Amino acid sequence: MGKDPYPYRILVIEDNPGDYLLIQDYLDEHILSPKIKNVGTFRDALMLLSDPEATFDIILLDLSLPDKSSEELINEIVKISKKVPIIALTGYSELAFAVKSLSLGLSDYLVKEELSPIILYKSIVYNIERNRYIKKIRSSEKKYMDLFQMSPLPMWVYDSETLKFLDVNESAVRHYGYSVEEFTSMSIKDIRPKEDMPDLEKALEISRGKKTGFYYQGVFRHVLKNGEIIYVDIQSNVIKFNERDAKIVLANDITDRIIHTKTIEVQNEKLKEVAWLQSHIVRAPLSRIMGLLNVLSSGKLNEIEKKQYLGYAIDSANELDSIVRDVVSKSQQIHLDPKKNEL
Amino acid sequence: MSFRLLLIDDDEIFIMMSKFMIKESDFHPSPLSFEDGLAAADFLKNNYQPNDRYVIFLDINMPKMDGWEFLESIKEFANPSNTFVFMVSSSTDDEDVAKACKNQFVLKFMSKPILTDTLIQLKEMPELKQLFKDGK
Repeated sequence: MGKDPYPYRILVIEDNPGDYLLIQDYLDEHILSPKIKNVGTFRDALMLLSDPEATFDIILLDLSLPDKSSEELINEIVKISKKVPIIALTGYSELAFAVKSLSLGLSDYLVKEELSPIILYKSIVYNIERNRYIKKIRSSEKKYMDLFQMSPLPMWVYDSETLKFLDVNESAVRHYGYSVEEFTSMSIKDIRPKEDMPDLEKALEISRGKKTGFYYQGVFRHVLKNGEIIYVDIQSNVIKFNERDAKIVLANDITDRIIHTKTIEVQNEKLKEVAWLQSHIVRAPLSRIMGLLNVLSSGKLNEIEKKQYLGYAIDSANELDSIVRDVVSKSQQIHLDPKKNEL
Repeated sequence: MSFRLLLIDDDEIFIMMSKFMIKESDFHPSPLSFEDGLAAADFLKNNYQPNDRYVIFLDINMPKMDGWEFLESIKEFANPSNTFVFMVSSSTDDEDVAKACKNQFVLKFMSKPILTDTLIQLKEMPELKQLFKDGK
């Protein structure tokens, strides 16, 4: 097997010159031209890592340095390592601690007494690769977090069991008036009018026990912090959130749309009334006048009859007049301003 | 065999005018008039003769029994082959027109007023032609 041609940039934090020489030898065994830097104290490590020019692919860290060791050393190095993976080099005596150190942010540990060129090489390659995946996952997590946080529509996640808000986005905070802290101390019942509870129960029943990905859509009324009631088109999906059964919700405020539709419905009702009046009431006196005029124009009536028929025609004309006035006043009640129509 | 004409309308002026037009057009010498559907239905039920011919001008909106109810009630005894109804209304409502056309007794939906010329035209309808040949 030929040597790995990638010029790994390796920082070895090791105060024992013998150990360092050994590591150098081992590295040369499988890597064609490693770029190795060695420091022997935490102070020097701090100086080197503070330099923005200094970048490494991996850090090999001896857990006992003259000026710092153990947990304190690990915490400090992790802090300044700029997310470069760190492999601890440790003796048998420190083995128990080395295992625990993984939870402090180290990528791996190697026991010095058992170190060999192939073990060292494998650990370096593996941890660099692993670190790259972790970075990728974090950035994709952040991307999805942004999609949630930056969504122009209010969104939240709530616990399917307790109904508590687990997370809300910025738009929900803006729209509803509650802070994130207020939201997460509330349940989704707290944003409903009391009289709408049965509707909520019904909707919850539909998605009870459903698996991840179950989609639900419906229109509900919500109450803002200032007491205002809004209509929202709710879309929700069942998800797992921090190991809890939860639902992610998208709430689209459709209050304006609904008020607009109601205004048009009221107008329609009034227009229908006008049309009915026109068809049934207006035509009655009109048809009478038409008939009477037809009789009058026949020339077959005597003077007394003529007077009688003219009297009927005048009565009908008056009736027609009052009906038309009524139609006009009904039409004037149809306002385009939604607030003036009784909803 | 005789031919009887019934005018059923709660509007007295309309009845008066219609009688004038019926005389003018020689449609019938002695039309009978009724102020509501119930009075007309009672009369027809008591006097109906299968060999007679009936032409009925029927208003829709009336107290006690409206035009539609009248048509329902005469179904029991009257026969569409000798009972011809003209539905008469001041309304021009499409729903009323459609409903009238579906009824077995109704020959035509007419909107008020009924004028002399209209009546002269009606006498030429195939269903009614016979009445005027026989009657004179």
